[in-house]
Amino acid sequence: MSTPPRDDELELSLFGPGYGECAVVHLGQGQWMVIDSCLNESGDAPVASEYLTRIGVDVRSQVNVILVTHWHDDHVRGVGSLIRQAENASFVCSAALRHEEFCQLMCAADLIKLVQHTSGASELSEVFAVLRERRCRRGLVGPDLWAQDGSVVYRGDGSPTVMVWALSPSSQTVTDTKVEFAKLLPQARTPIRRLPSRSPNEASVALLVNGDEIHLLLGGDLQVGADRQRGWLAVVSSPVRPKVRSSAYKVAHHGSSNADHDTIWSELLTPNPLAFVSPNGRLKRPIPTEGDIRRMKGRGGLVYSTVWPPTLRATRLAPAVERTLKEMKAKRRSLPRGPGHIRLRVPLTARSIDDGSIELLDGAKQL
Amino acid sequence: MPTALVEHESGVTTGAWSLAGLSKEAREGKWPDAVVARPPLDALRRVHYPPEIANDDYLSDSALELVDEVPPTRLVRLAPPSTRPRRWRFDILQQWEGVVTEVGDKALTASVEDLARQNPSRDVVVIPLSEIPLSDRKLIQPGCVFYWHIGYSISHGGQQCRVSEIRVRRTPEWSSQQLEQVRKRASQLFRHLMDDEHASTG
Repeated sequence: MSTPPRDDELELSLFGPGYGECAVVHLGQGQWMVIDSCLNESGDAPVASEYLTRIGVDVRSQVNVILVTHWHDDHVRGVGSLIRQAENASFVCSAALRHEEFCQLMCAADLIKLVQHTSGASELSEVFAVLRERRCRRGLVGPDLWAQDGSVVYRGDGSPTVMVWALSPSSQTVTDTKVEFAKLLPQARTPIRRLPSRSPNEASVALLVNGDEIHLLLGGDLQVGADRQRGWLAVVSSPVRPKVRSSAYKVAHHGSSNADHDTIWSELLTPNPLAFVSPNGRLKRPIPTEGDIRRMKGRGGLVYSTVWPPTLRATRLAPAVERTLKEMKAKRRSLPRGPGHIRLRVPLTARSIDDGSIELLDGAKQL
Repeated sequence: MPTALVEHESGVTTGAWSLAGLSKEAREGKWPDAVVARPPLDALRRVHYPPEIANDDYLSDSALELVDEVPPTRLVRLAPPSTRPRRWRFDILQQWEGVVTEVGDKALTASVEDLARQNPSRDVVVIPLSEIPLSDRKLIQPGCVFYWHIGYSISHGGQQCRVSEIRVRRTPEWSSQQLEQVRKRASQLFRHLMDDEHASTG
């Protein structure tokens, strides 16, 4: 549990507390990449830095890349704190955020302090503030890379060479998001509200971790898309993506049906791939649903979830309170306390994913 | 020696009298008919028991009524304490702060935090819209903050009923000046981002 992977081992650790997601990838030679961020059980530190410190990794020097797939609350909690710790990491985010309208959302979010937890936009605003502080040293104000389909996010210098490619967003989506962000902008004489985490999920970055024989597909929250210019349909038909098939898949958008398409499994994945999912229990109807699980299992491979079920029976309150809730027909359920953890480790030189090992920690389960 | 707080008609406490005649029994709740207090003050109406001899529930209601002026010593008659609570009150059993995440036709979904921290779990609730006061229903939108109290409402006469009260937090509206400020800052930030020569799209 507390041993780091060998230099020649690839690791994918997926954390999910029922609302939130973070993936930590060992790229070989002691270099690490963190994709998205959520908090630990006590809610006071990013789960990635807590885990890496526990296994003896120096977050300051060994985290090479921090990537935010998109700006929604459940993918960015604690990323400001993480980037402060990981001083040498480059910061990568979706090219779909490179719009003046998103800058307006961030600046508006800075003025909204309604509740304890900040919104995704204000968390990213904190990241940009950290980057500005480092400007003198780095010569940059914003991210090191605005990722879109075909971008090389990481190129290792070991042998075998590990590369990380961005598969999305597509150019069409980058254009679309300008309009979508404009719709979210506050208007004069409307009440100040916390910014809701709404679409566009097509602006999410999906990634391919390209090893020697073993490849990993990390789907972010990317949804299918309306046509071949957008979403997964654009990824599948992209002329610039590496034409390899992955044997492990971080299932997109918490396993929801609107992020699943036959061509993902037939074109981007090997037969019977391992599927890792982090549920989202904060929706009225938590995802993945039982139907989503059946569909994923029907693809042939093993399916693992960071927590299951996505929500728990709520702790009982005073009898008078419970009676009131019953009379109101109000329903209450609890999210799991802390993030579950799925850990895959496989030698970089392995021919098959079966040569690796999977550990299910802190409540993670095979479905 | 125990003292009594002295209040003008305006209700402002101006000083204290020593209650020479207040007995041990009075302090223990066996109320004497009268006590002697001094020195005299003008324009007095009521004398409240000090906290150390009064039952908190009845403090504001109990009074020593001035019945006669006998300078320099005054005889005051002690009114018996009221046997019923004076004010309406709300005993809170549970209170949450919530943020609406989804609004459907008949119900809203929200994430709630226990304000008393008795229950540290992160809860998701689905509440029928019919439970939201009509005056607040138009304010229900994703992102709005509300407060939800469940408890006992206790009337002046001691009647107790179980109540759920949901109030949507009123927030100021965005002003044109604020939005202009947001636009200016955003424009500056965006210009910096676009000027970043080293950043690329790969």
